[in-house]
Amino acid sequence: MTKEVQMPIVRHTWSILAAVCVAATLTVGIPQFAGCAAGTSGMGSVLLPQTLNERIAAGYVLVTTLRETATTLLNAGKLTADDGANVLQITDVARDGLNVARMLSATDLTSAEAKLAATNTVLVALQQYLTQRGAQ
Amino acid sequence: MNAALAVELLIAIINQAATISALLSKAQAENRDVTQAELDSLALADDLSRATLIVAISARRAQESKQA
Repeated sequence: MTKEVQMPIVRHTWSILAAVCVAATLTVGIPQFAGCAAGTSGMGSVLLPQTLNERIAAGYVLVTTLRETATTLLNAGKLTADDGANVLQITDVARDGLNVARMLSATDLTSAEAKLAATNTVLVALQQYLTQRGAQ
Repeated sequence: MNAALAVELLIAIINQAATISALLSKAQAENRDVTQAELDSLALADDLSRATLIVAISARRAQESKQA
């Protein structure tokens, strides 16, 4: 009885985890996520962003994904309005960070890289938080 | 987790992964970097998702007020 109830939950959570790993790999090119993504998703090779512009592009996509995930969780009643507002605020900060990195890329590559790295840290933390909320 | 919700989240994430994968594939196949126009397009898509999130927050807040 317990197994019949738990197994689908494990499967769903595992699928979400796999997808999050893929998204994180694509977005920030974090090496430790690459093996996780390949191992859990079975989706084959993933195309990693190489240049600064590619990583900024992936960052934009991740911000969009997080906003859409929060919207889905809000609509499903899995997230409170206050939690949603927090996600909005954090994703706005991340988006601003990406915009700044984009502006700096023309003049100061080192600062642009630093800004992008700081932004990605915030995004990955938020992604993990949303995954946990979705799994509850 | 509700199965339908899990599938919905999964599809959203896979769609986004496909978006960036297609963008990178195209740029790398053409031996070029991602252009400013492409970045603008992604930023515009994010603006739309932001607007949708704001609507969802308002709807959820209204729902919470009714329940209180």
